[in-house]
Amino acid sequence: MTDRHNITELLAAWSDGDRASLEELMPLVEQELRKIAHNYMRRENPNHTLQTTALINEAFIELNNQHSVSWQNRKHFFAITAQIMRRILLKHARDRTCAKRGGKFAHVSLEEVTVLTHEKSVELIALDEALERLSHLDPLKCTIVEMRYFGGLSVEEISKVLDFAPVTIGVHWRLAKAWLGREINGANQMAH
Amino acid sequence: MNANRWKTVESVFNQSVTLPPEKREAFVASACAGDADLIEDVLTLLAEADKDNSFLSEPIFDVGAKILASEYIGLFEEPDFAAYEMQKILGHGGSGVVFLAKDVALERNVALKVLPSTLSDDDERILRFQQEAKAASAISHPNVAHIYGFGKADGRYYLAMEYVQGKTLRELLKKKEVDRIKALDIACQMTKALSAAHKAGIVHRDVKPENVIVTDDGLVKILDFGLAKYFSAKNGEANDNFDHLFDTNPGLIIGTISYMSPEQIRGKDFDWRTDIWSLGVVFYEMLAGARPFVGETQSEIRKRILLTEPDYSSEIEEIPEIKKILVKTLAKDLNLRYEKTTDLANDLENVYKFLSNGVHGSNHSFAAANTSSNGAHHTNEVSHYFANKAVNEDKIKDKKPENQKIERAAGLEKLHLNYKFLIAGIVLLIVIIVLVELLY
Repeated sequence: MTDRHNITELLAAWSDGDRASLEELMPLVEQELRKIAHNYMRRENPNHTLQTTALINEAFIELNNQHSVSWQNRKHFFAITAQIMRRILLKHARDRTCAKRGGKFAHVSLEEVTVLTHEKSVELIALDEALERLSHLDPLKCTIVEMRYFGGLSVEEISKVLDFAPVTIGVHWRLAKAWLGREINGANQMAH
Repeated sequence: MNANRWKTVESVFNQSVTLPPEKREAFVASACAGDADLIEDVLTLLAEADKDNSFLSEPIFDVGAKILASEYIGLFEEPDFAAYEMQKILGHGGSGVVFLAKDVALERNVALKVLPSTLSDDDERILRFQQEAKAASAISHPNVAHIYGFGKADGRYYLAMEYVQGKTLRELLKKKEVDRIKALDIACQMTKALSAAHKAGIVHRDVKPENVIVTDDGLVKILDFGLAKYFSAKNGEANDNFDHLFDTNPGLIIGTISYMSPEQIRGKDFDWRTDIWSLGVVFYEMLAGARPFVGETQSEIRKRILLTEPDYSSEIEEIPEIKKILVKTLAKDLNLRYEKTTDLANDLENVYKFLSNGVHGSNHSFAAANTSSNGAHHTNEVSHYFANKAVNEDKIKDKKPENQKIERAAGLEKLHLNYKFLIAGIVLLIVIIVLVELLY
């Protein structure tokens, strides 16, 4: 377990704009999300929808309890969880699209488990690349898309986290969606 | 693209996206001062914004959370069993995966439910798993999936059961493949399975469309006795405290409670009649295409289950006998609910037999019984059937309110027909008057 002092420092450093500290923070938050998500799954069946904010809030409170860190602002936490989700999903999407033959799951088709289909994986990879380009063009829109799509937050929740009026978030989201849609469709047409 | 140019694109896009489509092009052209590239840029974005098929609209957080959770416990790790060859994954729950596997010795397919090795020392979980095996194997019924064996291999507990090839009721509902006759048929078979369970002293406790499989031949199998409990026949109470399922922070419970009975929601003692309720919810959902108790939050649903009566309008009301069954199945007061599962089975079967065979011995097809054009006519037949049946079976008793209602409905139908003739007459009269006026 990372020591308490270290985590507090990491958080402070990250809040001050030290992007490198994020790499150290992520595994910690990720492990917490894993544990909490598992508890949810254990209690309920897979067809149910998780209450995103409830899950993230629980992770947040849990980390607070464990490490007595005071997160200056919850928005950092929401941003982190959205990025973690993006990273995890991308890793799985890549694994799925270049599935090895003769591997451990040679006979088992995970696709039927509805966790992540091949089609969804291809979409995700294209989206990730487009998002990367968007982050250079308009970082705020990239953050909004991350929170909305990967973090599962509603427009209202994002507006609270980022401290903008919901209508402003909605306007950003609309253009970001159109821009990403064009990028992804354009890439598809080139490929065909 | 430089930052200034992007700002322009953004500004023109935001101003034009709310305009009516036919005015956009002219606006964009003038706002971009004839810059062809810029115009093209904004217009393609506008075209994209009009599409409502963006996959971005559906957040993917859930999927990520499921992956996190399953990785945490090694849910999908393929077991290495000598007796079984894994073929593919059929489905998964929060703490177990169901594999399609081949029994090597008997050379037959089985459904193999396997716990992850990380749960091999979770006593409560294992007990539950064993309970499931015991409960399901104690019921020998064609509508319950057979249990072949229970054991531990390669450090993991497994439960081998009959492999049922078909679709879950949830899938059928999603595809809208359940019409009234099919709904009755499925409900009948489910009730028979539950009836057998109740006779063996077992409450299923988790009756919902996800746990019902329908084969291509229409055979229904109830699965997943994972929450099943034995109840004592003496006091009729299940010997388990349900509270621990809710041992979580208030407001953090997730998942559906839609099929739970009022007594389950209250955390009170409950018996087989809780299954009767859940079956009623499923039956209602099959008929109405929506659940009887809905709400945006868990607490709203809970409130509805405890306090509100379901909406029995539309399709359900067409056949009073079906409504009667639902009212008696979804009675919040246990004294008003079906006392015996077999009674429910009989009532369902009567309606099913009638609707699928027809009164005059003719075979009504599924479609005919449900098409809207035949609906009213058919309803009348049903009503008469039950009205006659009631009169023949029970001449001494006073007329039941249902029968009075049936007669009223038949009367209304006649009135409706007369009304139609009246309108037609008036229209004809007007036409004649107009013609006469024109001639002169």
